[in-house]
This record gives sequence, C-alpha cells and structure tokens, in this order.
Amino acid sequence: MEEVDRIIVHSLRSIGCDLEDDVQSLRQFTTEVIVSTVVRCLKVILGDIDLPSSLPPGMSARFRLGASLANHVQDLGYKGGDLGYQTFLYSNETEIRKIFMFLVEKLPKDTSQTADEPMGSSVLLHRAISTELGYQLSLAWLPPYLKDKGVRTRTRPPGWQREGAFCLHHFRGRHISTPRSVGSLTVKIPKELRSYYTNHLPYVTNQTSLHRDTAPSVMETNVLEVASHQEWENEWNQLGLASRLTQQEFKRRKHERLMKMVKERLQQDSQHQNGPDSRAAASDLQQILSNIEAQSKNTGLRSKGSRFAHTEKLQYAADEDKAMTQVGANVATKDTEEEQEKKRQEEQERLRSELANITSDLEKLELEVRKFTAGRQKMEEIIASETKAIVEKKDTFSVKKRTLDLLPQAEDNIAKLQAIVDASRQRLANLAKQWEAHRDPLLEQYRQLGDLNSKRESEAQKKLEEIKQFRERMKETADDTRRKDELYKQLISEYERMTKDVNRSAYTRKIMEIVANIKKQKQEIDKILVDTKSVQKEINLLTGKLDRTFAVTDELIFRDAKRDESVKKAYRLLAALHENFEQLIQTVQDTGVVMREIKDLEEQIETESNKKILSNLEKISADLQQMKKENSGLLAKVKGK
Amino acid sequence: MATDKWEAAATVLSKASATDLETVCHLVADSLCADSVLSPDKGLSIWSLEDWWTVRTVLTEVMRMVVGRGWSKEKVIKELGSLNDSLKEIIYDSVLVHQQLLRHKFIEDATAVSHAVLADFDWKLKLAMASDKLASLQEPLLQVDLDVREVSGEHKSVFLELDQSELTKLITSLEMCSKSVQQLTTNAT
Amino acid sequence: MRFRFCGDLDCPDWVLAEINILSKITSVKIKLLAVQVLKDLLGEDLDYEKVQKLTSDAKFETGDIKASIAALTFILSSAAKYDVDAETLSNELQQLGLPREHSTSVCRSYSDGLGHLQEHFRRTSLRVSGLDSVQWRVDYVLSSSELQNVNEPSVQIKLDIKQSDSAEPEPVAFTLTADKFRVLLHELKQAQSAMENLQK
Repeated sequence: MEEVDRIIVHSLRSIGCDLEDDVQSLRQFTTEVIVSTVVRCLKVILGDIDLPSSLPPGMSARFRLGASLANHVQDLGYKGGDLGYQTFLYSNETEIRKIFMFLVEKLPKDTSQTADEPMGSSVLLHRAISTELGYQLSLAWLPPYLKDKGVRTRTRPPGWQREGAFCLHHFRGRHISTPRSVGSLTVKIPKELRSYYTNHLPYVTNQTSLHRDTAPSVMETNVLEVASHQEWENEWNQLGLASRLTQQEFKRRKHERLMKMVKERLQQDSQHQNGPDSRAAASDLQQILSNIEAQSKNTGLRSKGSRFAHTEKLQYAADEDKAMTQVGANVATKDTEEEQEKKRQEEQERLRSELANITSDLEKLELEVRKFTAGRQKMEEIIASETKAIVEKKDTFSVKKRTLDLLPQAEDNIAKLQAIVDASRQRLANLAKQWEAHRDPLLEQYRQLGDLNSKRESEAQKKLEEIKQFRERMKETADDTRRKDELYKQLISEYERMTKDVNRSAYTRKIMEIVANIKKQKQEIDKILVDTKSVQKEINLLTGKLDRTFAVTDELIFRDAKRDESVKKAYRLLAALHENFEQLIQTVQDTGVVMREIKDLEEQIETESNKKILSNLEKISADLQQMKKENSGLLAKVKGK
Repeated sequence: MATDKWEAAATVLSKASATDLETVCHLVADSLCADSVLSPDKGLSIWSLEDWWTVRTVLTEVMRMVVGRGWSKEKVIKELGSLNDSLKEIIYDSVLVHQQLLRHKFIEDATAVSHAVLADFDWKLKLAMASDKLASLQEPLLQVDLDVREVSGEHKSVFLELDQSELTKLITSLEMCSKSVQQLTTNAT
Repeated sequence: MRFRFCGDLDCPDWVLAEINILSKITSVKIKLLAVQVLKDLLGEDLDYEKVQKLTSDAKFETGDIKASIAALTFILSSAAKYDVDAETLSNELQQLGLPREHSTSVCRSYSDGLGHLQEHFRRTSLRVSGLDSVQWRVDYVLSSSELQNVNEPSVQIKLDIKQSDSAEPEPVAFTLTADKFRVLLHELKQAQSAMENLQK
C-alpha cells in the first residue's frame, strides 16, 4: 500500500498540488487536503470547472461542494461503489485511495508524452533563449565602467553577456606566416628557410600591428587553408582521379591547358580587332606581353599624350618631327593672331592633305607589297616545280646512259644481269624466310603484351572505381558520424533535462519489486495450499481406516455377541465408544468452523475500525450541531424580519 | 637600370655584418608583406638615418625585381655590383624565403589597382524573435559586414542583412562563380 | 482583466469606448467593415465611400466612423500579432461588451484573413537591409606593373542592396582575390548550415 501511496503522492505533486514535504501516505491526508487535491485533479482532467480549491467555512457549502465533487467523479466513469458527499467529507482511507487511483489514471498524459519524445533542437533553443532572456532581465543595471570591455561575467549560472555596443571593433584579418612542414620528414626544408624559422620569424602574436587583430588573422588564414584544401579535394575527386595522373602532373597539365586557351583567345581577339597587318605581331602571347610592356615603358618616359598621338608617333616619327619643327618656326615669327590663325588653318589643311596623301600612298604601297608577295610565292612555286622536273630528268638520263653503255656486249651483259637478277631473287626469298622466322615470335609477343595491357587497363579501371567508392563511403561515414554526434549531443542534453523530471526508472524499479513480492507471496500461498491438501488427505485416510476398522470389529463382536453375554456387553460399549468419538470429532470440526468465523469477524472489526466510524460519527454529530445552529440562526433571522 | 644607385648602396650595405643584414632583410620583407611602417630602430645602430633609407629602398627594389620580374641569382649578383659576394647571397636567400608571401602581396596589389576591394568581412547569425508586427517572428537573419576599401584608401562599411532565401540566392550565384575560379586556378596547393 | 488579444494585458480604455459605438451597427455591416479594415491592413487602399455607405444607416458621424475603423484596426492587428484564434477573440470581445452576433461576424472575417495578415506582418517586419540581386565576373589577370607573370583569377562582385522598402537598391561593387573569394564562400556556406540547423 505504501508504494501505491507514494506513486499517488508523487503524481499529485507533479500536477501542482500543495502537499507538505513529509506527507508519504494517504493516511496523513486531512479532509481539507483531500478536497483541495481532488479539486485540483478535476481541474487538470476537465480543464475549466468552477470549483473553489479550498474547503469553504459554511457547513451547507461544504455539503454542496462534496456533492458536486462526487458528481464530477462519477461523471468521469468511477464505478467503485456508492459515492456521495460523505466520501470526501468523512473519508476513509481505502475509499479515498480507490478514488485517487482512479483520478491519477485519468490525468492527461500529454505532459509525460512530451517528455518521452526526443525534442527538436529548435524547441530546446527557444527554451534556452527564453530562460537566458528572463535571467538577463532580472539582473540589475551596471554602469559601463564596471564592465570589462562591455562584457559582463556572472557566476550563477556561469556565463557572460555583452551589454551595449562598447569596445566593438571590426574584424580584420591579415596574412599570417607560420612554419610549414617542419614536423614531416618527407619534405626537405631549404637551409635558409629553416634558419629563418628559427631565428627571424616573429611570433604569430607579433605579426599583426594591433594585438586584437591576431585572432581574426589566425582564423582567416586557417579558413583559407581549409577552403582551398576542400576545393582541391573536390576537383581532384571529380576530374583528377579519372585522368590517372599524379597530382603534380595534373596541375601542370591544367596550367598548360589554361595558358594555351588564354593564348588562343588573345590571338583570335587581336586578329579580329587589328586587321591582317598586325597578325604577324600577334603571333605569340609573349610578344604581346612584351609589346604592352614596351608601350608602358614609353608612356612612362614620355610626358602625357593620347594613345592616338602615341601610335602616330611610332609610325610616322619622321613626319611628325618635321611638322614639329615647322610649328616651332611658326611660333618664332610672332605673327598677328589672325595671320597665325590663318596660317595654322592652312598648315592644318596642308598637313591633313599630306596625311591623306601619305595614307593613300601607304595603302597603295601595301597593296603592291601584297601583290609582290603573292608574285614571289608564285615564282617560288614555279622554281620548286622546275627543280623537281630537272631532278627527274637527270635520273632518267643516267639510267638511259648506263643502258647505252651496256649495249656493245649485249649477250654477256644480259647473262650477267640474269645472274644478278637470280641472286637477287634468291636473296629476297632468303630474306622473306628470315622475316617469317622473326615475325612469328614477335607477333606472339605483341599479342601477349596487348592482352596484358588490356588486363591491366581493366584492373586499373576497377581499382579506380573502388577508390571512388571508398572515397564516397568515407564521406558518407564522416557525415554519418557527424549526424550521430549531433544526435548524441541532443540526447545528452535532453537526458540531463529529463533526470529532474518524472523518474521512470524509480517507477519501474518499484513495479519490479512489487511484482517480485507478489510472486513470493504466491509461492507461499501455494505451499500452504499443498499443506492443507496433504492434511485433508491424511484426515480422509484416517477416517476411512477408522470406518473400516469399526465395521470389521463391529461384525466380529456382533457375531460373538449372539453366543456370549459378556461379549454383548462389550458390543454395546463399543457402540457407545464409537458414538462418543463421533461426537468428539464433530465437536472438533465445529470448533474449527467457529475459530474461522472468529477470525473473519476480527478482520471485519479491523476494517470497520479503520473506517474511523467513531471519529467520523463525532464529526458528523458536531457538524449536525453546527447545522442546527446555522438553521436556528437563519430561522431567527427570518423571524426577526 | 638602377645599377648606379645600387652600386652606391654597396658601400653602405657593406657596413653591416652578415647576421645584421639578414635580420634587416627579413624585417624589410615582413614590413613589405604586411604593408606596415618599418621602425628604423634596428638599423640606426649600424647606419645613419639617410643610409638606412638607402638600404631600405635598395632592399625593397631587389625584392620587387626578384619576385616581380623573376630575376635569377646570377642577375642579382651582377646587378648588386661590387658588394661582397657573401652579403649578396644573404640578400638573395632571404628574398627567396619570402617569395611566396611577397608574390601573394603583389597579387593583392594587382587586384586592388583601380577597383574597390573587399578588405575584410564578418558575419553574424541572428534569430529575430519578435517584431512590432508579430509577437513570435522566429526568423533567422544573417548579418554580413563587408569592409570595402575604396581606391582612395578610404574604408567603407556595408551592412547586409540576408534572410534564408536571399542567402541561398547569393550562395548559388557565387557557386557558379567559384566553378570558373576553380577552372582558372592552377597552383592550388 | 487580461485579454489574450491584447498580449495578456488589459484592454485600452479607448477601445472599450469604441466597442459601444461598434455595437450600434448591424452584425452584417460590421463584418463588411472588418473586411475593409483587413484590406487596409494588408496594404490596399481603404474605400472610404463604401465605408460611408456601410455606416450610413446607423447615423454615424465622421468621428464615429474614424473611431470604429481605429478600434477594428487595433483589434484585428493586435489579435493577429499575438496569434489568437477566432474563437478566443470572439469570447474576449463578448467579455468586452460587443454583442454575440457582432463578435462572431468580426471573427469570421478575422479567421479568413488571419493567414494573409500574419504573412503580411512577417514580410513587413523591420529589416535593416536586404539583397536585391548579385552580379559577378571572373577576370584573369595576366600581368601587372608589380608582377610580370600574375596568372591568377580575380573576382568582381556587384551587390544590389535594398536599404528599406521604398528606396532604390544601392549598388556595391568590389574586387576580390581568388583566395579571399574562397574564404567568403566558405564562410557563407557555414552560415547557411548554421541557419538550417536553426530551422530544424
């Protein structure tokens, strides 16, 4: 019963009933506590009901409250015997326990359910934010000079917060240099670099001009490394692995490809813009670069001047110089303004026409140059074809000459030639045989190598696939681990929150204990039952034996009794004996029954006395007195009116 | 082209011992990388202030030439003229140590020619709990502070507040950009 | 008394006074009036002629019309702000003295417009700035005055930033080295994942 009481008290406390700390069982509940807790339970179960949470002073009001409580509980579906105002006002322990057990079961489960489900992190976050805000709001104001750089630290709960926008500064990251690959044995560090690291490299904290920039700089440098490493990893996974090159080679190839692309683009563009005459100049990227450089140097040396003037200068340096001297001469003569103007205009006209002439001349010249170039090419082709013809003709001439030389001794020469031809034929056959002999093994080898190669190729492909798979799996595993870590963290935080809530483990332990107790009790009951059964059996056995013995004796003595008088007497005595013993047994049995009845009655007395009838009766009579008093008071009031 | 000046600096440079010269070289390189003002304290024990300026200018120029124009060791040794050979080697070696960082710095400078540059940025994730319009808003917002350095050298702060859709838009756009950057990057180490 | 639609605070006195005026017109008219006020709250223009017509048979003066619109605006916007359901609002309005038919008809229009209203409020909540559009360009730098062979990409980004709802987007343009760009994108991705974690 104590277990049940403890559970009931715990759940009553959890719904917010105001119970004293030392209350452990329902026996300690007074009428007032009972009423207030029942009202609280009903409010939680039904939501909005209009009941006073404490016992009213007036007797009639109390009566009404008790009756309405009984009604509500019955409406909920309570079926444990008759329920009335007296159940609450004049309580007895067992009934109250039954009612509370019923009510506790009816309590809404949602609060416990939310505690069971894993809560979303956003819910946790919002709760944390609201507690933090609530805490910060409850703090007293602190003047700024008491805070260290606008940060206020506190001990309970441990933490800090920034108050106001004081001492804030920008995030400034500078490049930070740190010793690289000092720990690894594979990379060889040049001597001078090592000496720089040991002797001259300033500490990271001294590398920034402002100390507060140190942390941002370190962070930025680190992020840059992480980011570029990730990027490279990505690229390598996507493109690099498939290309089957080493990392360095892959980078080199990419660089070359890129340079080629840039070069081609530049060439195309320059052809597009500048026309054919600068094609030769644009043939090489490096040349362009050097051109640009040269130009920039020129502009650096000379004073200002538009680009147009500049190119003009390059192309028509001589003309311009001439013009310059002319202009200089004009300035020297110091004419009137109009004349000067006129002269200038004339000069301009002249220069313009000259320029036009020169340009047209130039164009003409260019055309001619082109024509000449074309002509020269044609001539060159002709020369080449002629040279070829000459060579051919020389060949035919030499062959013919030799034939002519051979003509005088035709027969001999024919025979000689025949011999030579035969020898040649034989040699050819020989060579063919030799070739065949060499060719076969070579072919065989070639085929073998081809097979081997394709096998290797497929193996490499397979391994590549495997590597890809492994990388993917690595990534997946890493993701998984991260996810699980997060879940674990969340669960841990939830668990920490849970422990102060309803402790399930205590419940389950208690339940397990109760079950074990019941099992033990059941075993004992079984043992007693077996005992009882064996005693019963023995009794039955004995009675049977007795009956049989009596019957045998009875028959024996009865047979003799006909003949002998004394035996007759013995028979009578036997009968009397038997009867007496029967009576004795009967009495013993009756005693047993009575004993059992006594025990029952004692138990009944116990339960009745538990019901506090006496005290309740006293209470009832006191209440009755009070009611009578109230009634008489009311009557007096009525009469007084 | 600057050989005369360098020739003149040779006598000044010779005043320093080998270890001092090495230290000074590293100091000049560090200050060049970090764009910071170099304090003359270290040099004044060896040189007069005027000489110190010469030393600084010459060393800076050597660094610009070696890293920027790709001068070889022989070329440097030739250009430095009558300076003691061991000192020349020290100068060249210390420039080599800083080559990567100097190159990085020059690239940054090249990027900053004629454009506003993103000098730094910072971000903060905020959860807007409520507003005057809604009692429970619960909207995550990302504040990005961009510190943009104008061509004139002035710093301009740009505050940018992004909600989730805007951030996604920005990132998808920059992802495309990242792809082409990746294609054009050749020496990712 | 505390009311949920006032954010668990007492109802302002002026609203209490205007409720009396609101109960003078019929429940059908008050529903139509509430629809008009909702429209106004959602940013459309209030049709004053229609409002005049709606309130004409109750013999409202101009002051009364103004008062009733103000009261309805307060009730509807405040209820939407504190996310009160229509039934509770109806109960609370009845407690404030608005007749039953009136409050149910007001609440019917309220429950129709609640979603839109909250969405509108969410959209128009204070924002310091926002992103309108992004433009970028990748340059390949071949050479510079300092460095003969650069051969590095550089990124140009232009962001159009809305400072507030009314003003034109303000363009901000800047250049980044490839390294800085990597860091920027990486950090933005980190921020995005943090943001997604918040929404779980």
